[in-house]
Amino acid sequence: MKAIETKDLGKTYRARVKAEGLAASFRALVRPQWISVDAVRGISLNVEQGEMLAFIGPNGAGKSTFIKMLCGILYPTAGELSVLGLSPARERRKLAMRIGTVFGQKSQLWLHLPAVDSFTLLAAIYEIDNAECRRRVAELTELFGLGEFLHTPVRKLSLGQRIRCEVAASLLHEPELLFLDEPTIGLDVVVKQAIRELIARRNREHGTTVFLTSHDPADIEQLCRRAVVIDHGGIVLDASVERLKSDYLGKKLIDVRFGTPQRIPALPGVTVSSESGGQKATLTVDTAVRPIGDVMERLSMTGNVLDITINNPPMEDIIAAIFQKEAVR
Amino acid sequence: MKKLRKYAVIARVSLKNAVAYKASLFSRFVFYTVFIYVFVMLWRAIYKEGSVNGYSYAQLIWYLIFTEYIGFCCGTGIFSTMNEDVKSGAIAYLIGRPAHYVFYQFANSLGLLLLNLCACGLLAAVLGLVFAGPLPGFHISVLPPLLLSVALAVVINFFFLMLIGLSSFVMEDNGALFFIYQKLTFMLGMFLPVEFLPSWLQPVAKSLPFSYVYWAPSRLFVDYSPALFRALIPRQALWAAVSVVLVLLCYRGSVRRLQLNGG
Repeated sequence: MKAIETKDLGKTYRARVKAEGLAASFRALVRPQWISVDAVRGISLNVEQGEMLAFIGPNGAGKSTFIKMLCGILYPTAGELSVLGLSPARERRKLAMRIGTVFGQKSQLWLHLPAVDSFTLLAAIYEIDNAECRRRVAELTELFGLGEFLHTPVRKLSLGQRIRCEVAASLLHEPELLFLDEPTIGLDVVVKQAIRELIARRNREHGTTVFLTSHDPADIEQLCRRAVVIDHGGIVLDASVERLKSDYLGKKLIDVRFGTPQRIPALPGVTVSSESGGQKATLTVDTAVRPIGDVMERLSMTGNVLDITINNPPMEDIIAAIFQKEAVR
Repeated sequence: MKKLRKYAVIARVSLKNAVAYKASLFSRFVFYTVFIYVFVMLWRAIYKEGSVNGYSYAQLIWYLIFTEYIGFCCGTGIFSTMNEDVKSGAIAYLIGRPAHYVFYQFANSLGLLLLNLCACGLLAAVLGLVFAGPLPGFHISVLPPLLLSVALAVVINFFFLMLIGLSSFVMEDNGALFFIYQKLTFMLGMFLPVEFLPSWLQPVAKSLPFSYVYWAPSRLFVDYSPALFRALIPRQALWAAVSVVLVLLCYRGSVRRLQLNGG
Protein backbone atom coordinates (compact mmCIF):
# COMPACT_ATOMS: atom_id res chain seq x y z
CA MET A 1 0.00 0.00 0.00
CA LYS A 2 1.27 3.43 -0.91
CA ALA A 3 1.29 6.21 1.67
CA ILE A 4 -0.23 8.70 -0.77
CA GLU A 5 -1.91 8.14 -4.11
CA THR A 6 -3.56 10.92 -6.08
CA LYS A 7 -4.94 10.85 -9.59
CA ASP A 8 -5.79 14.02 -11.48
CA LEU A 9 -6.45 15.76 -8.18
CA GLY A 10 -7.84 19.25 -8.54
CA LYS A 11 -9.19 22.06 -6.41
CA THR A 12 -11.04 24.98 -7.87
CA TYR A 13 -12.55 27.73 -5.79
CA ARG A 14 -14.41 30.93 -6.43
CA ALA A 15 -12.84 34.26 -5.63
CA ARG A 16 -14.56 37.59 -5.68
CA VAL A 17 -13.02 40.27 -7.88
CA LYS A 18 -13.50 43.97 -7.51
CA ALA A 19 -12.44 46.59 -9.99
CA GLU A 20 -10.77 49.77 -8.82
CA GLY A 21 -12.76 52.82 -7.82
CA LEU A 22 -15.81 53.75 -5.78
CA ALA A 23 -18.29 53.22 -8.62
CA ALA A 24 -16.99 49.71 -9.15
CA SER A 25 -17.43 49.01 -5.44
CA PHE A 26 -21.10 50.01 -5.65
CA ARG A 27 -21.56 47.93 -8.80
CA ALA A 28 -20.01 44.99 -6.97
CA LEU A 29 -22.64 45.38 -4.25
CA VAL A 30 -25.42 44.84 -6.76
CA ARG A 31 -23.69 42.50 -9.13
CA PRO A 32 -20.66 40.84 -7.52
CA GLN A 33 -18.20 39.32 -9.92
CA TRP A 34 -16.51 36.02 -9.30
CA ILE A 35 -13.64 34.25 -10.95
CA SER A 36 -12.76 30.61 -10.81
CA VAL A 37 -9.28 29.88 -9.44
CA ASP A 38 -7.57 26.55 -10.08
CA ALA A 39 -5.44 26.20 -6.96
CA VAL A 40 -4.50 22.61 -7.80
CA ARG A 41 -4.91 21.19 -11.29
CA GLY A 42 -4.69 17.52 -12.14
CA ILE A 43 -1.93 16.36 -9.81
CA SER A 44 -1.16 12.65 -10.00
CA LEU A 45 1.35 11.57 -7.40
CA ASN A 46 2.39 8.42 -5.58
CA VAL A 47 4.43 8.41 -2.38
CA GLU A 48 5.83 5.19 -0.94
CA GLN A 49 5.66 4.40 2.75
CA GLY A 50 8.82 5.49 4.56
CA GLU A 51 9.71 7.92 1.77
CA MET A 52 10.77 11.51 2.47
CA LEU A 53 9.40 13.67 -0.29
CA ALA A 54 10.04 17.34 -0.90
CA PHE A 55 7.10 19.19 -2.37
CA ILE A 56 8.39 22.52 -3.55
CA GLY A 57 7.34 25.53 -5.53
CA PRO A 58 7.01 29.28 -5.33
CA ASN A 59 4.46 31.04 -3.12
CA GLY A 60 0.92 30.50 -4.38
CA ALA A 61 1.88 27.39 -6.32
CA GLY A 62 -0.76 25.29 -4.54
CA LYS A 63 1.44 23.40 -2.06
CA SER A 64 -0.57 24.11 1.06
CA THR A 65 -3.89 23.53 -0.69
CA PHE A 66 -2.61 20.14 -1.87
CA ILE A 67 -1.47 19.20 1.64
CA LYS A 68 -4.79 20.29 3.13
CA MET A 69 -6.63 18.07 0.68
CA LEU A 70 -4.40 15.16 1.66
CA CYS A 71 -5.25 15.82 5.32
CA GLY A 72 -8.99 15.99 4.58
CA ILE A 73 -9.22 19.64 5.61
CA LEU A 74 -10.15 20.79 2.11
CA TYR A 75 -12.35 18.86 -0.27
CA PRO A 76 -11.07 18.27 -3.79
CA THR A 77 -13.24 19.38 -6.68
CA ALA A 78 -11.75 16.85 -9.10
CA GLY A 79 -9.81 13.61 -9.16
CA GLU A 80 -9.17 10.84 -6.69
CA LEU A 81 -6.97 10.50 -3.65
CA SER A 82 -6.08 7.95 -1.05
CA VAL A 83 -3.90 8.52 2.00
CA LEU A 84 -2.78 5.44 3.94
CA GLY A 85 -5.56 3.59 2.13
CA LEU A 86 -8.23 6.00 3.38
CA SER A 87 -10.28 8.68 1.69
CA PRO A 88 -9.39 11.94 3.49
CA ALA A 89 -12.71 13.60 2.68
CA ARG A 90 -14.88 10.70 3.84
CA GLU A 91 -12.70 9.29 6.64
CA ARG A 92 -11.05 12.40 7.97
CA ARG A 93 -11.16 11.60 11.67
CA LYS A 94 -9.98 8.04 11.08
CA LEU A 95 -7.11 9.35 8.96
CA ALA A 96 -6.29 12.04 11.53
CA MET A 97 -5.35 9.29 14.01
CA ARG A 98 -2.60 8.16 11.63
CA ILE A 99 -1.16 11.40 10.31
CA GLY A 100 0.65 14.32 11.90
CA THR A 101 0.82 17.90 10.66
CA VAL A 102 3.04 20.86 11.29
CA PHE A 103 2.05 24.12 9.68
CA GLY A 104 5.13 26.21 10.41
CA GLN A 105 3.26 29.50 10.31
CA LYS A 106 0.51 28.38 12.70
CA SER A 107 0.51 27.01 16.19
CA GLN A 108 -1.30 24.03 17.61
CA LEU A 109 -0.16 24.82 21.15
CA TRP A 110 -2.08 26.79 23.77
CA LEU A 111 -0.25 30.07 24.01
CA HIS A 112 -0.84 30.79 27.69
CA LEU A 113 -0.22 27.27 28.96
CA PRO A 114 2.96 25.21 29.14
CA ALA A 115 3.58 22.86 26.22
CA VAL A 116 3.05 19.88 28.53
CA ASP A 117 -0.63 20.88 28.87
CA SER A 118 -1.01 20.93 25.10
CA PHE A 119 0.58 17.48 25.00
CA THR A 120 -1.94 16.23 27.58
CA LEU A 121 -4.78 17.68 25.54
CA LEU A 122 -3.50 16.21 22.28
CA ALA A 123 -2.99 12.83 23.94
CA ALA A 124 -6.65 12.85 24.97
CA ILE A 125 -7.75 13.91 21.50
CA TYR A 126 -5.75 11.06 19.98
CA GLU A 127 -7.17 8.69 22.61
CA ILE A 128 -3.81 7.84 24.20
CA ASP A 129 -4.14 6.64 27.79
CA ASN A 130 -2.35 8.44 30.63
CA ALA A 131 0.48 5.95 31.16
CA GLU A 132 1.27 5.79 27.45
CA CYS A 133 1.03 9.59 27.23
CA ARG A 134 3.61 9.97 30.01
CA ARG A 135 5.94 7.51 28.28
CA ARG A 136 5.69 9.27 24.92
CA VAL A 137 6.06 12.75 26.39
CA ALA A 138 9.18 11.56 28.23
CA GLU A 139 10.57 10.08 25.01
CA LEU A 140 9.88 13.20 22.97
CA THR A 141 11.19 15.44 25.75
CA GLU A 142 14.50 13.61 25.63
CA LEU A 143 14.63 13.41 21.84
CA PHE A 144 13.76 17.07 21.26
CA GLY A 145 15.50 18.43 24.35
CA LEU A 146 12.31 19.98 25.73
CA GLY A 147 13.09 19.40 29.43
CA GLU A 148 14.15 22.96 30.20
CA PHE A 149 10.99 24.62 28.91
CA LEU A 150 8.31 21.93 28.98
CA HIS A 151 6.58 23.68 31.89
CA THR A 152 7.03 27.24 30.61
CA PRO A 153 4.02 28.97 29.00
CA VAL A 154 4.38 28.71 25.23
CA ARG A 155 4.15 32.49 24.76
CA LYS A 156 7.44 32.83 26.64
CA LEU A 157 9.35 30.38 24.42
CA SER A 158 11.70 31.38 21.62
CA LEU A 159 10.60 30.52 18.08
CA GLY A 160 13.06 27.63 17.95
CA GLN A 161 11.79 26.20 21.23
CA ARG A 162 8.19 26.58 20.10
CA ILE A 163 8.80 24.83 16.78
CA ARG A 164 10.50 21.95 18.60
CA CYS A 165 7.37 21.67 20.73
CA GLU A 166 5.17 21.89 17.62
CA VAL A 167 7.00 19.05 15.89
CA ALA A 168 7.01 16.99 19.10
CA ALA A 169 3.25 17.61 19.46
CA SER A 170 2.65 16.36 15.95
CA LEU A 171 4.55 13.15 16.74
CA LEU A 172 2.83 12.40 20.04
CA HIS A 173 0.37 9.96 18.50
CA GLU A 174 3.16 8.31 16.48
CA PRO A 175 1.79 9.09 13.04
CA GLU A 176 2.71 6.95 10.07
CA LEU A 177 2.73 9.97 7.82
CA LEU A 178 3.97 13.44 8.71
CA PHE A 179 3.06 16.55 6.75
CA LEU A 180 5.53 19.34 7.36
CA ASP A 181 4.51 22.62 5.82
CA GLU A 182 7.54 24.91 6.12
CA PRO A 183 8.62 23.60 9.52
CA THR A 184 11.86 25.57 9.65
CA ILE A 185 10.51 28.95 8.58
CA GLY A 186 12.06 31.79 10.57
CA LEU A 187 14.50 29.59 12.48
CA ASP A 188 18.23 30.17 12.82
CA VAL A 189 20.74 27.84 11.17
CA VAL A 190 21.51 25.84 14.33
CA VAL A 191 17.88 25.19 15.24
CA LYS A 192 17.04 24.36 11.62
CA GLN A 193 19.77 21.75 11.62
CA ALA A 194 18.50 20.29 14.92
CA ILE A 195 14.94 20.05 13.56
CA ARG A 196 16.17 18.35 10.38
CA GLU A 197 18.15 15.80 12.37
CA LEU A 198 15.12 15.03 14.54
CA ILE A 199 12.89 14.51 11.52
CA ALA A 200 15.48 12.34 9.80
CA ARG A 201 15.88 10.27 12.96
CA ARG A 202 12.12 9.78 13.22
CA ASN A 203 12.06 8.56 9.64
CA ARG A 204 15.02 6.22 10.22
CA GLU A 205 13.82 4.72 13.49
CA HIS A 206 10.05 4.63 12.97
CA GLY A 207 9.78 4.52 9.19
CA THR A 208 7.60 7.63 9.28
CA THR A 209 6.74 8.88 5.81
CA VAL A 210 7.55 12.58 5.52
CA PHE A 211 5.87 14.98 3.11
CA LEU A 212 7.79 18.23 3.29
CA THR A 213 7.29 21.67 1.83
CA SER A 214 9.97 24.24 2.39
CA HIS A 215 11.59 27.24 0.82
CA ASP A 216 14.88 26.30 2.40
CA PRO A 217 16.99 24.27 -0.06
CA ALA A 218 18.96 22.78 2.81
CA ASP A 219 15.79 21.17 4.24
CA ILE A 220 15.22 19.43 0.93
CA GLU A 221 18.83 18.54 0.23
CA GLN A 222 19.45 17.12 3.67
CA LEU A 223 16.17 15.33 4.24
CA CYS A 224 14.73 14.20 0.94
CA ARG A 225 15.77 11.98 -1.91
CA ARG A 226 12.88 12.86 -4.17
CA ALA A 227 11.48 16.25 -5.04
CA VAL A 228 8.28 17.26 -6.74
CA VAL A 229 8.23 20.79 -8.07
CA ILE A 230 4.87 22.43 -8.65
CA ASP A 231 3.79 25.73 -10.09
CA HIS A 232 0.35 27.14 -10.87
CA GLY A 233 -1.22 24.08 -9.26
CA GLY A 234 0.45 21.52 -11.52
CA ILE A 235 3.56 19.35 -11.36
CA VAL A 236 6.50 20.83 -13.21
CA LEU A 237 9.02 18.16 -12.29
CA ASP A 238 9.14 14.89 -10.34
CA ALA A 239 12.72 13.73 -9.89
CA SER A 240 15.39 12.78 -7.40
CA VAL A 241 16.93 15.69 -5.52
CA GLU A 242 20.32 14.76 -6.98
CA ARG A 243 18.97 14.66 -10.52
CA LEU A 244 17.26 17.92 -9.94
CA LYS A 245 20.57 19.51 -9.21
CA SER A 246 22.64 17.82 -11.91
CA ASP A 247 20.08 18.10 -14.73
CA TYR A 248 18.79 21.54 -14.10
CA LEU A 249 21.83 23.32 -12.88
CA GLY A 250 25.01 21.48 -13.81
CA LYS A 251 27.02 23.89 -11.78
CA LYS A 252 29.09 23.50 -8.65
CA LEU A 253 30.37 26.10 -6.27
CA ILE A 254 34.00 25.76 -5.17
CA ASP A 255 35.12 27.73 -2.16
CA VAL A 256 38.88 27.82 -1.94
CA ARG A 257 41.28 29.39 0.55
CA PHE A 258 44.99 29.91 -0.18
CA GLY A 259 47.94 30.40 2.17
CA THR A 260 49.18 33.35 0.09
CA PRO A 261 47.29 35.59 -2.36
CA GLN A 262 46.80 33.87 -5.71
CA ARG A 263 45.67 34.93 -9.14
CA ILE A 264 43.30 32.36 -10.56
CA PRO A 265 43.84 31.85 -14.29
CA ALA A 266 40.87 32.30 -16.63
CA LEU A 267 39.30 28.98 -17.62
CA PRO A 268 36.42 28.29 -20.02
CA GLY A 269 33.30 27.29 -18.03
CA VAL A 270 34.60 28.78 -14.80
CA THR A 271 33.69 32.14 -13.34
CA VAL A 272 35.30 33.54 -10.26
CA SER A 273 32.37 34.86 -8.31
CA SER A 274 34.18 36.58 -5.49
CA GLU A 275 37.66 37.15 -4.27
CA SER A 276 38.93 38.73 -1.07
CA GLY A 277 42.51 39.91 -1.33
CA GLY A 278 43.42 36.92 -3.44
CA GLN A 279 43.40 34.52 -0.48
CA LYS A 280 39.78 33.41 -0.84
CA ALA A 281 37.73 32.73 -3.93
CA THR A 282 34.40 31.24 -4.95
CA LEU A 283 34.35 29.61 -8.35
CA THR A 284 31.19 28.70 -10.24
CA VAL A 285 31.94 25.74 -12.46
CA ASP A 286 29.75 24.68 -15.36
CA THR A 287 30.47 20.97 -15.30
CA ALA A 288 29.06 20.52 -18.81
CA VAL A 289 31.92 22.65 -20.13
CA ARG A 290 34.68 21.71 -17.72
CA PRO A 291 34.86 18.69 -15.40
CA ILE A 292 35.11 19.54 -11.73
CA GLY A 293 38.25 17.36 -11.37
CA ASP A 294 40.01 19.44 -13.97
CA VAL A 295 39.30 22.65 -12.04
CA MET A 296 40.46 21.05 -8.79
CA GLU A 297 43.69 19.99 -10.42
CA ARG A 298 44.30 23.46 -11.82
CA LEU A 299 43.63 24.99 -8.42
CA SER A 300 46.05 22.69 -6.66
CA MET A 301 48.67 23.55 -9.28
CA THR A 302 48.43 27.23 -8.35
CA GLY A 303 49.97 26.13 -5.04
CA ASN A 304 49.37 26.65 -1.35
CA VAL A 305 45.70 25.58 -1.14
CA LEU A 306 44.72 25.52 2.54
CA ASP A 307 41.07 24.58 2.25
CA ILE A 308 38.66 23.66 -0.48
CA THR A 309 34.95 22.80 -0.42
CA ILE A 310 32.51 21.90 -3.19
CA ASN A 311 28.85 22.88 -2.78
CA ASN A 312 25.65 22.57 -4.74
CA PRO A 313 23.94 25.81 -5.67
CA PRO A 314 20.98 26.96 -3.54
CA MET A 315 17.64 25.30 -4.25
CA GLU A 316 16.07 28.64 -5.16
CA ASP A 317 18.46 28.88 -8.09
CA ILE A 318 17.55 25.36 -9.12
CA ILE A 319 13.83 26.08 -8.98
CA ALA A 320 14.35 29.31 -10.92
CA ALA A 321 16.27 27.37 -13.57
CA ILE A 322 13.49 24.78 -13.82
CA PHE A 323 10.89 27.46 -14.35
CA GLN A 324 13.07 29.17 -16.94
CA LYS A 325 13.53 25.92 -18.81
CA GLU A 326 9.81 25.14 -18.70
CA ALA A 327 8.98 28.63 -19.94
CA VAL A 328 11.31 28.11 -22.92
CA ARG A 329 9.52 24.85 -23.72
CA MET B 1 -15.36 6.21 26.78
CA LYS B 2 -12.10 7.56 25.33
CA LYS B 3 -14.18 9.60 22.89
CA LEU B 4 -16.01 11.30 25.76
CA ARG B 5 -12.85 11.66 27.81
CA LYS B 6 -11.21 13.77 25.12
CA TYR B 7 -13.91 16.43 25.42
CA ALA B 8 -13.63 16.41 29.22
CA VAL B 9 -9.87 16.96 28.95
CA ILE B 10 -10.43 19.79 26.43
CA ALA B 11 -12.82 21.46 28.91
CA ARG B 12 -10.31 21.00 31.76
CA VAL B 13 -7.42 22.49 29.77
CA SER B 14 -9.62 25.38 28.63
CA LEU B 15 -10.53 26.07 32.27
CA LYS B 16 -6.84 26.17 33.10
CA ASN B 17 -6.32 28.51 30.16
CA ALA B 18 -9.20 30.76 31.28
CA VAL B 19 -7.70 31.03 34.77
CA ALA B 20 -4.44 32.17 33.14
CA TYR B 21 -6.25 35.28 31.88
CA LYS B 22 -6.65 36.88 35.32
CA ALA B 23 -6.55 40.44 34.02
CA SER B 24 -9.27 39.67 31.48
CA LEU B 25 -11.51 38.18 34.18
CA PHE B 26 -10.95 41.18 36.43
CA SER B 27 -11.71 43.67 33.67
CA ARG B 28 -14.96 41.81 32.93
CA PHE B 29 -15.89 42.14 36.61
CA VAL B 30 -15.28 45.87 36.49
CA PHE B 31 -17.25 46.27 33.27
CA TYR B 32 -20.11 44.16 34.67
CA THR B 33 -20.26 46.26 37.86
CA VAL B 34 -20.24 49.58 35.96
CA PHE B 35 -22.90 48.31 33.55
CA ILE B 36 -25.18 47.20 36.39
CA TYR B 37 -24.66 50.48 38.25
CA VAL B 38 -25.68 52.56 35.20
CA PHE B 39 -28.84 50.51 34.63
CA VAL B 40 -29.77 50.51 38.30
CA MET B 41 -29.63 54.31 38.23
CA LEU B 42 -31.77 54.32 35.09
CA TRP B 43 -34.45 52.07 36.57
CA ARG B 44 -34.35 53.96 39.87
CA ALA B 45 -35.26 57.12 37.91
CA ILE B 46 -38.09 55.32 36.09
CA TYR B 47 -39.59 53.51 39.06
CA LYS B 48 -41.33 55.59 41.69
CA GLU B 49 -43.25 52.85 43.41
CA GLY B 50 -45.36 49.74 42.80
CA SER B 51 -44.70 47.51 39.83
CA VAL B 52 -44.45 47.78 36.06
CA ASN B 53 -45.88 44.97 33.94
CA GLY B 54 -45.87 42.71 37.00
CA TYR B 55 -42.23 43.45 37.96
CA SER B 56 -41.45 45.22 41.22
CA TYR B 57 -38.35 47.44 41.38
CA ALA B 58 -36.38 44.75 43.22
CA GLN B 59 -37.49 42.10 40.75
CA LEU B 60 -36.49 44.24 37.79
CA ILE B 61 -33.04 45.00 39.21
CA TRP B 62 -32.50 41.31 39.93
CA TYR B 63 -33.81 40.51 36.43
CA LEU B 64 -31.27 42.89 34.92
CA ILE B 65 -28.45 41.51 37.07
CA PHE B 66 -29.41 37.99 36.03
CA THR B 67 -29.63 38.70 32.28
CA GLU B 68 -26.25 40.41 32.39
CA TYR B 69 -24.90 37.50 34.43
CA ILE B 70 -25.99 35.09 31.70
CA GLY B 71 -24.54 37.47 29.14
CA PHE B 72 -21.19 37.36 30.87
CA CYS B 73 -21.34 33.58 31.28
CA CYS B 74 -22.12 33.18 27.60
CA GLY B 75 -19.35 35.53 26.60
CA THR B 76 -16.91 32.97 25.26
CA GLY B 77 -16.33 34.85 22.02
CA ILE B 78 -17.06 31.76 19.95
CA PHE B 79 -18.21 33.83 16.98
CA SER B 80 -15.01 35.87 16.76
CA THR B 81 -12.90 32.81 17.56
CA MET B 82 -14.36 30.93 14.60
CA ASN B 83 -13.99 33.92 12.31
CA GLU B 84 -10.39 34.37 13.34
CA ASP B 85 -9.65 30.65 12.94
CA VAL B 86 -10.91 30.72 9.36
CA LYS B 87 -9.13 33.96 8.46
CA SER B 88 -5.80 32.92 9.98
CA GLY B 89 -6.06 29.36 8.70
CA ALA B 90 -5.60 27.99 12.22
CA ILE B 91 -8.78 26.03 11.65
CA ALA B 92 -6.65 23.59 9.63
CA TYR B 93 -5.32 22.16 12.90
CA LEU B 94 -8.75 21.92 14.49
CA ILE B 95 -10.51 20.28 11.58
CA GLY B 96 -7.64 17.92 10.94
CA ARG B 97 -7.89 16.24 14.33
CA PRO B 98 -9.79 13.16 15.44
CA ALA B 99 -12.34 15.24 17.32
CA HIS B 100 -15.58 16.74 16.08
CA TYR B 101 -14.94 20.43 15.45
CA VAL B 102 -18.32 21.51 16.85
CA PHE B 103 -17.97 19.58 20.10
CA TYR B 104 -14.31 20.53 20.36
CA GLN B 105 -15.30 24.20 20.29
CA PHE B 106 -18.07 23.65 22.82
CA ALA B 107 -15.77 21.77 25.21
CA ASN B 108 -13.11 24.40 24.61
CA SER B 109 -15.56 27.12 25.68
CA LEU B 110 -16.81 25.23 28.72
CA GLY B 111 -13.79 26.15 30.82
CA LEU B 112 -14.43 29.87 30.46
CA LEU B 113 -18.19 29.33 30.85
CA LEU B 114 -17.74 27.48 34.12
CA LEU B 115 -15.28 30.04 35.44
CA ASN B 116 -17.67 32.87 34.54
CA LEU B 117 -20.61 30.99 36.01
CA CYS B 118 -18.93 30.63 39.40
CA ALA B 119 -16.91 33.83 39.67
CA CYS B 120 -19.47 36.14 38.10
CA GLY B 121 -22.28 34.43 40.02
CA LEU B 122 -20.79 35.55 43.32
CA LEU B 123 -20.35 39.10 42.05
CA ALA B 124 -23.92 39.17 40.70
CA ALA B 125 -25.29 38.05 44.08
CA VAL B 126 -23.33 40.75 45.90
CA LEU B 127 -24.41 43.49 43.45
CA GLY B 128 -28.05 42.37 43.68
CA LEU B 129 -28.01 42.52 47.47
CA VAL B 130 -26.35 45.93 47.42
CA PHE B 131 -28.61 47.54 44.82
CA ALA B 132 -31.95 45.80 45.37
CA GLY B 133 -31.78 43.89 48.65
CA PRO B 134 -32.93 40.26 48.95
CA LEU B 135 -35.12 39.02 46.11
CA PRO B 136 -38.67 38.63 47.42
CA GLY B 137 -39.86 35.01 47.45
CA PHE B 138 -36.50 33.52 46.45
CA HIS B 139 -35.58 30.21 48.04
CA ILE B 140 -32.37 28.25 47.72
CA SER B 141 -34.35 25.20 46.55
CA VAL B 142 -34.96 27.07 43.27
CA LEU B 143 -31.28 26.82 42.35
CA PRO B 144 -31.26 23.36 40.64
CA PRO B 145 -34.12 24.13 38.19
CA LEU B 146 -32.64 27.59 37.69
CA LEU B 147 -29.23 26.15 36.85
CA LEU B 148 -30.90 23.85 34.33
CA SER B 149 -32.52 26.87 32.71
CA VAL B 150 -29.21 28.75 32.65
CA ALA B 151 -27.46 25.72 31.15
CA LEU B 152 -30.07 25.51 28.39
CA ALA B 153 -29.79 29.26 27.77
CA VAL B 154 -26.01 28.93 27.46
CA VAL B 155 -26.43 26.06 24.98
CA ILE B 156 -28.97 27.97 22.87
CA ASN B 157 -26.79 31.07 22.77
CA PHE B 158 -23.56 29.16 22.11
CA PHE B 159 -24.92 27.10 19.25
CA PHE B 160 -26.75 29.98 17.58
CA LEU B 161 -23.54 32.01 17.75
CA MET B 162 -21.71 29.01 16.34
CA LEU B 163 -24.26 28.81 13.55
CA ILE B 164 -23.42 32.41 12.66
CA GLY B 165 -19.71 31.63 13.07
CA LEU B 166 -20.04 28.75 10.60
CA SER B 167 -21.14 31.23 7.97
CA SER B 168 -17.50 32.42 7.91
CA PHE B 169 -16.71 29.13 6.14
CA VAL B 170 -18.59 30.38 3.11
CA MET B 171 -19.01 34.15 3.58
CA GLU B 172 -16.32 36.82 3.45
CA ASP B 173 -17.99 39.07 6.00
CA ASN B 174 -20.59 37.75 8.42
CA GLY B 175 -20.50 40.64 10.90
CA ALA B 176 -24.02 41.74 9.97
CA LEU B 177 -25.51 38.40 11.04
CA PHE B 178 -23.83 38.69 14.42
CA PHE B 179 -25.04 42.26 14.79
CA ILE B 180 -28.66 41.24 14.08
CA TYR B 181 -28.48 38.32 16.51
CA GLN B 182 -27.01 40.53 19.24
CA LYS B 183 -29.74 43.14 18.82
CA LEU B 184 -32.52 40.55 18.80
CA THR B 185 -31.35 38.92 22.03
CA PHE B 186 -30.81 42.35 23.55
CA MET B 187 -34.31 43.60 22.76
CA LEU B 188 -36.12 40.31 23.35
CA GLY B 189 -35.15 39.69 26.93
CA MET B 190 -31.73 41.03 27.83
CA PHE B 191 -32.51 44.70 28.20
CA LEU B 192 -36.22 44.37 28.95
CA PRO B 193 -38.44 41.49 30.04
CA VAL B 194 -40.67 40.22 27.23
CA GLU B 195 -43.68 41.43 29.28
CA PHE B 196 -42.53 45.01 28.61
CA LEU B 197 -42.97 44.60 24.84
CA PRO B 198 -46.22 45.62 23.09
CA SER B 199 -48.87 42.96 23.61
CA TRP B 200 -48.90 41.98 19.90
CA LEU B 201 -45.14 41.43 19.96
CA GLN B 202 -45.03 39.26 23.07
CA PRO B 203 -46.33 36.04 21.46
CA VAL B 204 -43.95 36.60 18.56
CA ALA B 205 -41.03 37.02 20.96
CA LYS B 206 -42.03 33.90 22.88
CA SER B 207 -42.13 31.86 19.71
CA LEU B 208 -38.55 32.80 18.77
CA PRO B 209 -35.37 31.31 20.25
CA PHE B 210 -33.86 34.68 21.24
CA SER B 211 -36.11 35.13 24.28
CA TYR B 212 -35.03 31.80 25.69
CA VAL B 213 -31.45 32.97 26.13
CA TYR B 214 -32.11 35.79 28.61
CA TRP B 215 -35.79 36.19 29.34
CA ALA B 216 -36.72 32.60 30.24
CA PRO B 217 -34.05 31.92 32.92
CA SER B 218 -34.27 35.47 34.33
CA ARG B 219 -38.06 35.33 34.52
CA LEU B 220 -37.77 31.98 36.30
CA PHE B 221 -35.28 33.51 38.70
CA VAL B 222 -37.34 36.52 39.74
CA ASP B 223 -40.74 34.83 39.80
CA TYR B 224 -40.19 31.09 40.16
CA SER B 225 -43.13 28.73 40.16
CA PRO B 226 -43.36 25.06 39.16
CA ALA B 227 -45.97 26.01 36.55
CA LEU B 228 -43.62 28.56 34.97
CA PHE B 229 -40.81 26.03 35.07
CA ARG B 230 -43.00 23.48 33.24
CA ALA B 231 -43.94 26.10 30.68
CA LEU B 232 -40.47 27.44 29.93
CA ILE B 233 -38.05 24.53 30.25
CA PRO B 234 -39.53 22.37 27.45
CA ARG B 235 -39.37 25.36 25.09
CA GLN B 236 -35.78 26.05 26.08
CA ALA B 237 -34.93 22.38 25.63
CA LEU B 238 -36.57 22.41 22.21
CA TRP B 239 -34.59 25.45 21.05
CA ALA B 240 -31.39 23.99 22.50
CA ALA B 241 -31.95 20.78 20.51
CA VAL B 242 -32.84 22.75 17.37
CA SER B 243 -29.70 24.89 17.67
CA VAL B 244 -27.43 21.85 18.11
CA VAL B 245 -29.01 19.98 15.18
CA LEU B 246 -28.82 23.07 12.97
CA VAL B 247 -25.14 23.55 13.77
CA LEU B 248 -24.33 19.91 13.04
CA LEU B 249 -26.19 20.01 9.72
CA CYS B 250 -24.69 23.32 8.69
CA TYR B 251 -21.21 22.23 9.72
CA ARG B 252 -21.49 19.16 7.52
CA GLY B 253 -22.50 21.32 4.58
CA SER B 254 -20.17 24.25 5.09
CA VAL B 255 -16.98 22.30 5.82
CA ARG B 256 -17.17 20.98 2.25
CA ARG B 257 -17.13 24.53 0.97
CA LEU B 258 -14.39 25.81 3.26
CA GLN B 259 -11.69 27.86 1.55
CA LEU B 260 -8.32 28.40 3.16
CA ASN B 261 -5.75 30.46 1.41
CA GLY B 262 -2.09 30.89 2.16
CA GLY B 263 0.32 28.81 4.24
